[in-house]
Amino acid sequence: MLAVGLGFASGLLLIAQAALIAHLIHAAFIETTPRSELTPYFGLFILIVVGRAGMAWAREMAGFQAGTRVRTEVRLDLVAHLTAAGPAFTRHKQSGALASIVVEQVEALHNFFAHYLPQLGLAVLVPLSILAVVFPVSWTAGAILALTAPLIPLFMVIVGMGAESISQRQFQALSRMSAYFLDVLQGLPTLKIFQRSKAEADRVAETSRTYRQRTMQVLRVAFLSSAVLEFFSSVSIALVAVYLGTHFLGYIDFGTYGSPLTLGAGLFILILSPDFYLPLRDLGTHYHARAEAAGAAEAIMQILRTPISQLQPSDAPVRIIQPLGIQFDRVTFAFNGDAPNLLENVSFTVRAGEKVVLAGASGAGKTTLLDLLMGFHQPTGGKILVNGFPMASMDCAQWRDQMAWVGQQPVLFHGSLRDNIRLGRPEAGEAAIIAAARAAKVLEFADRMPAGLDAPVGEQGRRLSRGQAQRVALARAFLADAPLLLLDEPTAGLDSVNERLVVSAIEALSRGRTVIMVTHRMTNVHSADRVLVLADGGIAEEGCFQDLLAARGALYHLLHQPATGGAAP
Amino acid sequence: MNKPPGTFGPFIRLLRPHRYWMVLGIALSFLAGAAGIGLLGLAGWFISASALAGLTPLTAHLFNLFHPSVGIRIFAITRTAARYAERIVNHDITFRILESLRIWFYLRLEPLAPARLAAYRSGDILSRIIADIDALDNLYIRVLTPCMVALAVTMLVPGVFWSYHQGVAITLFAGMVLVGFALPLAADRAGTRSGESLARHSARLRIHTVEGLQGLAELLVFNAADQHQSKIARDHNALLRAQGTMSRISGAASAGMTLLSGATVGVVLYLGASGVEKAQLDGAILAMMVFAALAAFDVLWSLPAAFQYLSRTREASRRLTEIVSQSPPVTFPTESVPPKHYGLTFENITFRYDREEPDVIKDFNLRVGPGERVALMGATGAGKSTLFHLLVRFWDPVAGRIRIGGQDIRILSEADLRRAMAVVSQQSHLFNGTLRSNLQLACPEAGDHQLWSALQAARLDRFVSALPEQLDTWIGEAGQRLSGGEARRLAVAQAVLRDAPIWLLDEPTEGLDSTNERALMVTLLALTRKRTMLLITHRPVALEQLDRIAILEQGRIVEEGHHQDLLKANGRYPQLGMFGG
Repeated sequence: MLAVGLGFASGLLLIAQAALIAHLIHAAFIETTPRSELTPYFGLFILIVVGRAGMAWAREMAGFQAGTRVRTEVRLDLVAHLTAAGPAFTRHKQSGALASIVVEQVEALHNFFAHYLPQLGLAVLVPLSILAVVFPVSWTAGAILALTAPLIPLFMVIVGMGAESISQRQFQALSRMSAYFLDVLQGLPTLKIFQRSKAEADRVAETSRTYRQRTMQVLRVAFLSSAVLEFFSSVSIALVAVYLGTHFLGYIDFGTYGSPLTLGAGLFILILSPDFYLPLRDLGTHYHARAEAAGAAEAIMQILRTPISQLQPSDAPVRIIQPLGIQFDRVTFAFNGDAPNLLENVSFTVRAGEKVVLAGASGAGKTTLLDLLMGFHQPTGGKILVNGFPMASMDCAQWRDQMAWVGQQPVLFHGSLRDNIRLGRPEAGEAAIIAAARAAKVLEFADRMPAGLDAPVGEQGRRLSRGQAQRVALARAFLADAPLLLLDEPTAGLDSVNERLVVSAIEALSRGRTVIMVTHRMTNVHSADRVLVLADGGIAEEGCFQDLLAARGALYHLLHQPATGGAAP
Repeated sequence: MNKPPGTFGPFIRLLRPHRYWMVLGIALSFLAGAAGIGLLGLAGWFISASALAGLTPLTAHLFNLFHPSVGIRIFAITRTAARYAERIVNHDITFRILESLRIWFYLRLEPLAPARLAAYRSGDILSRIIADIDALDNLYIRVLTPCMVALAVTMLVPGVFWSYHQGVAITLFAGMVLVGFALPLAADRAGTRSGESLARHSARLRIHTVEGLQGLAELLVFNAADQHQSKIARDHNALLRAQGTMSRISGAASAGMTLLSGATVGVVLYLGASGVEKAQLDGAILAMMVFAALAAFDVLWSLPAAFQYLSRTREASRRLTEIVSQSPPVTFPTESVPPKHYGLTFENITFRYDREEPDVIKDFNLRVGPGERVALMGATGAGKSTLFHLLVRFWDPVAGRIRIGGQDIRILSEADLRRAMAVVSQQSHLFNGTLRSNLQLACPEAGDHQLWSALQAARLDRFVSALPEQLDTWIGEAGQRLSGGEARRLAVAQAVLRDAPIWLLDEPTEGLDSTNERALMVTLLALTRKRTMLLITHRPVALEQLDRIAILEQGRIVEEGHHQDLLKANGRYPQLGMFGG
């Protein structure tokens, strides 16, 4: 790696710098060389310093590049994989948590590649090269350092474990503390209602005290490992100095190769002794990057390992003739191998141009059925036919071109009302957009806004009410002008005014299209050609609304629960 | 550096109780740094002096070997011990600061919730508050300690040198100030602007990622997913560019520090060598100076990180101060006489959330007798939930008066007011803890028997007894492990434990399917018999059992009466609910 190479070269320059400093002191002091003769050496010294400065800059750049490459690849992979896994996966996760993996966790990889990995290489290379230059000068001094050299890998493990448990424990304690505090802040109104908000301050104090005591117990031990490294480095420097001093005074004459050491040689060794341990110590400071990256990698891999069950792109030509009929042929579906079948051998037909309502209790599989049609899931058994042609072999984009969908909670994207309406058709002309906005009753409120259809929505602009947002979603569907219309409880949670507007827009939108609507609102059911009632993984009954009610079967019971009844109009 | 900018004021005061510990921690850090410098300086002096003495046997024999070698050992041991002690003390202080900071912030925030925090409600902004507090937790260990130690070393080492060679002392001092303070500060200043664009780009990346995930179904069905992916890629690249600028700045800073510290050592060496030549300076002292200077620069290397941290911390403290310096929206008297009865009266209430916003409620009047049960209906935004906010005094009305038992609620103490009401709302927060701890929030002294009977009343007992850990079941962050219906029933159980004379129910069945909806309504009606109850709903379930139904439109009551009468009158009421079936 470039960063390691640069760091290593910088380490070699450091050795040269040590040799120069040692030589200069020796020359000025022992040999009393006139300063004028030393000038070239000072020049060389400055050159080395400039060189090291350049290396420091280049090393930072190289590290950054390395971290950048990894992040780009991982982040774009993640986004692509999440898109491929589809709503079937993302719907059951908190989007904030997933987004923090895509944003923050991927960022956490950076320091590992930019700083930790290069430092790991240096922690091996720099001490070895210092040994390589110290040994030829004095084997005793070399031996003092080398005695600890075999311990270097051991040190790395010790420092690693120590630093890891330090940063992990501390990090864990802090993040638990923060999570607890966040919970308290979010629940503050609830605490107030329960008259507990003043008392909670004591709990905040108590919780943080417990965290402190528990964490400090661990840290007291964990810091010992870095103290060991500190100890070895201090003791080695002391030993080297004492050895050199006694050697110069003539008390010790071993450790060299024949002739006694010069002061220059001694200083050279002494300057290098702290640098022998420095890369290891620096590694310890980067260790939290490793712990963070490890955690991040785990979260990232978990997403990348998610199997993809969506309808995929394919080269098969689409054979869809409008209008569009759909047939479920003994379709079975389960979320995964172990789960019980949510749908079992479901068969029904929706003829071209027909309006069908899907009813059923919560959890009967209505939304899953729509998901299957949209290709977010694939059936585990049986097949879905579109105008007699198997859906499974169609290209996902071309198939989705044939449909429009309005869900329970429409999502509006940052941008203008206009951008949101032309989501599926960015090339749509002004006239078409206005027509769609009018048909979906968006103009009714857009015209009252100063910016009209250019009014910003999302966090930067004003928030639309649920009913207004739903009308924007309907305008999208109008503009998409697709033969198949899928509606999932489009009026749930709306007040009566908005509900009336949305229902009448839906009626207009339904004209000339095949419509499948999930609902438990009876106002929507009246206009349907047919009602399918889902229960126990299959179609419990089907037929026109009045007949089913009269038959007093599943639909009747769905609407007339025991307990207190709603009044009939 | 020892004088932080004004915005730190309140936080610095929080550090006061810990000042002796902090002095100890900083002293230990300084001791560790100084011992390291002493170790190398003494070692350099020792080998140079001994090398000179060793030139003739006589001087070698006279050389006092004992004192320097003991000194070296003492420095070595001091450095290790002080470093270890410093780590322990400083981390302990950090946790103590964390404790004071959290309590301080909580006590300041508590009176502001929720009115003044409405703007901060979303999870993202609350998380930012948390991150800001974390940043302040680290103010001492990451900023204060390294700065103080660096400052002390910058004074100490050139100070010691002064008596030997003033030129060297001045050079080293200048070099250390440049390397330790001027350069990192300049880099930090240069980084501020790209820091801002960094924050902007990463926020944009986050927003687009979140909406891409939330709206994935829309993007796929409308074939706009590719388009959105390239939007995210563009955000990512913009972020990388901003980070590249930051990285170039910090690369330049570290190159500058290498250059300046190297150059300073070079000049020290040059001046010292000429001092030795002119016999103004002992050669061994020169060695000591060079070694000590090299070690002193090592101490300064932690400063750039400290300064970077300082700007983040300053920004964090500015945001927190902004939040807690708001005045509380309501204040309570400390004592009061409990109301004589629990009838409610709203008299000419007018309210708006913000001065610039239109009135949410205007001249609103409603009387609910003791033990009467009334439903409030009306379109979203008609002001129904606002009435509850006013009743629990999260806000006070702009005009008008609310009475409980004939008494203005503003003369009730917080304790008396809270005791009077049980609230089941959609926003009821479930805490990360066990079922038991969540239930006991409502009634801390309740024993298991009482908890079980509350669960039974809320029809949740069967569910809980089927759980392997029963009341000790961990329900997770915001009650994630419970379904919507279970969470709502838990809120009902909490209300039962409150055993309050007034019940406020805000869409208690929203999001439940019709089977569960009816079952829960039956439960609630049974529980509130003979109590004053206000029910906000837009679901037409069991309304005929209530004493009265009031229909709100734009903050006023437009229809009022019993279910049957309203149906007969055939006004707005029959259209409000979807009376299907």
